[in-house]
Amino acid sequence: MSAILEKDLEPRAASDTEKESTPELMRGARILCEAMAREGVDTIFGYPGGAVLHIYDELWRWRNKIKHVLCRHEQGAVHMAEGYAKTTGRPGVALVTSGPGVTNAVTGIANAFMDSTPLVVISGQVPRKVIGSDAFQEVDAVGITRPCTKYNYLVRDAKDLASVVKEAFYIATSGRPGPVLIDIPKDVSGEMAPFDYASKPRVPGYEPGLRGDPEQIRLAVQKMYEASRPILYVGGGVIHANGAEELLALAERLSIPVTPTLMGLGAFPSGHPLCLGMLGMHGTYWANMAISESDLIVAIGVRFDDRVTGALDKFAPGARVIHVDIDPSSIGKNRRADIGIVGDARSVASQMNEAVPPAAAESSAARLSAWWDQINEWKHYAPLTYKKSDRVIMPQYLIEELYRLTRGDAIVTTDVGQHQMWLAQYYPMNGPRQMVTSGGLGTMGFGFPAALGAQLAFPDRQVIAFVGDGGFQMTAQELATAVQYKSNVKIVVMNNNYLGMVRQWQEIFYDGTYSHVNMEWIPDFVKLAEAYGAVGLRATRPDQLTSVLERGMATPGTVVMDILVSEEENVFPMVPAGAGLKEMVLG
Amino acid sequence: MRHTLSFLVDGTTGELPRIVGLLSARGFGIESLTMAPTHDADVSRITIVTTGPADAIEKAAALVGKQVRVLDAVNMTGKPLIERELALIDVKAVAGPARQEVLNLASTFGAEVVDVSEEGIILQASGDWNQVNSLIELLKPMSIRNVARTGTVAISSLAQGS
Repeated sequence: MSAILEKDLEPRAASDTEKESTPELMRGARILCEAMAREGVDTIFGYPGGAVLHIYDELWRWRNKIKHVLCRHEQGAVHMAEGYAKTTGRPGVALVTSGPGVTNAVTGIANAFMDSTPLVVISGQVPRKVIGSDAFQEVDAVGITRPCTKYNYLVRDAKDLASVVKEAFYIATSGRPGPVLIDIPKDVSGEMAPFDYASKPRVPGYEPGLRGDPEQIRLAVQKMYEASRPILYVGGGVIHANGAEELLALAERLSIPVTPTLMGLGAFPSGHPLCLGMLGMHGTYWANMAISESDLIVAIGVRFDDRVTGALDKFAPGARVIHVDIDPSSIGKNRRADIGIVGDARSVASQMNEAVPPAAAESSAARLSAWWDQINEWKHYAPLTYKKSDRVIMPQYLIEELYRLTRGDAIVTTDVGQHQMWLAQYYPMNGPRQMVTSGGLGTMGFGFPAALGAQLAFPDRQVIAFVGDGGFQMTAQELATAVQYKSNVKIVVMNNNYLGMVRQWQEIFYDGTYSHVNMEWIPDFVKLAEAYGAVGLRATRPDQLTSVLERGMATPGTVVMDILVSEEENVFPMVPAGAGLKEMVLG
Repeated sequence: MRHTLSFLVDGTTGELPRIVGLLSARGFGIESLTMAPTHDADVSRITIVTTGPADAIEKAAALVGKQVRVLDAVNMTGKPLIERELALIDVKAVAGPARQEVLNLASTFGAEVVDVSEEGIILQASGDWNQVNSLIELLKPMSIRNVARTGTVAISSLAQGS
């Protein structure tokens, strides 16, 4: 890299009104890199191909400023970008080529869309003059990703690139965050144009507000201290808004019980006396009973997802609802809101806190004592429990050991299914951005690449990919990425030889007809790890578990721990599909 | 029930497929759809007439409203509004009493003759959805050969303010 180029790459001072246009022409690919550097991009997860050759050529010159992580599949690249984004709070960036590059990325993009993760995905496209001619590796990227992006662009002129990048990062990170795709035809990244950059994006009509309406907040707070059975139902929106502290202050001020969703785990400390644990299909008995019997639900950054509410017509029939969300279309979408407040969770929680009269705060614990007595009764009636065994490793025990050995401090990622639900139940999350999971889309294969993204963002933290044997096989090729970049990520495979959650449903709802859920052939994960140059360990009996986990955690580099667990254990409590939350099966 | 949705969008491309996709993904049929620039060349108005349950339409309109390039989204159903559409109707009408009957109907509905041949007539009719529909229904027995309708455009009536 030349000295001149190094100098060129120095970030320039930007003010709010700065407009910058260079008379000097530069290649589209360089405009892209210059603009990304201004957004603070330091890491890109990508996979090269024909349509992005100009961009890769340019990235080589930027290699000291922007780290490029060469993934083994585009789905892995986008999941890594999501793991990076979810743990840092900064937008993740992925780069893929046209055609199959884009189609492979779609699962990752849809996952980020469902979980409101800020991503910017850059895709190559065939040259402008052959768009629409079924050219080699051509797909309509903008068309394919339209329903699963917050916004997307096909850039038709290199002079627009800088402002498109500016807008894309603004759109991805503001309001309800989400993925934005920028599709760049090969000849656009190769043509010369001025660097035409406005430091303020121009997006008329798009002005996501942060603060809630003061009058609505006053009304809401009054309801909160007048209610006799209130509950705070909190989700991913609190984490996106960095509102955990404000939420904690509000809940403590009014002594209101808190139940987080799967995406909200860590938004409120799981070990806190006010925390009831996760609610929903596999939520705790007492959280589900409390929300069902509540007279006021204060919903913050949640969407009343079907996995949370069970049958909507039976959900909390006696409760009024205060719904706080940054996305106005989310309010009242599934459950009618008595008071809707548009704003971000952090601002609104803090506004609510300020609106609580001191007298109401002081009397709250005494006022809600009967409510808390009732909740504690439910808690004692059906605590989370499982049958211990000294013969087979119980999956819940595995997670308890993992929690103990990591002192509850690890960043943990998961796929979807039984292992994910058990982790939510048995690994209390103490802070935000500690759990990274595929919530809305429920993507197998998400956890491992997401953990790689998280580990790159936090090289000094313990990062664990907690995955099932089915999901791990969907993105296991990223072991090569992990070893290439000397990642310290630890992969704990909860291996029950089944697609466990599907098997559980077949057992309970299909008379035990196990149709095509038994993984009759599973690779030897220890040898697989070794084939990739990683370390593989295995535990098959309870007496081996602790030492394998301890050794695995202590071994530098990428380690796969294959933990053979009880094959037909079920996740309980469980609300059958279509039933009300109170119709839990306790096991 | 018919619902008239009106959206103002920034720019002239891109938003239409996004909006149509949002509606069709939720199972709404589109009865008519128009899009054209407003007095501001950078801003276009899309008017969509659709059918479906009222609460679902309301939610879909809210979803459209939050899209990045959508400046305004209004469900105009049940509000005072002026609705118009234009139709070109090619109807078989040979010279003689048949043609006279077509012309009589056209005159009742204020439709203009915009083309004529020995075999038939093309009428230009305008009005609200019901008026245009009524004329088409009455002309059906006389062998309509082709119809092209613009679809509904709508604007809030002055009674409501802007």
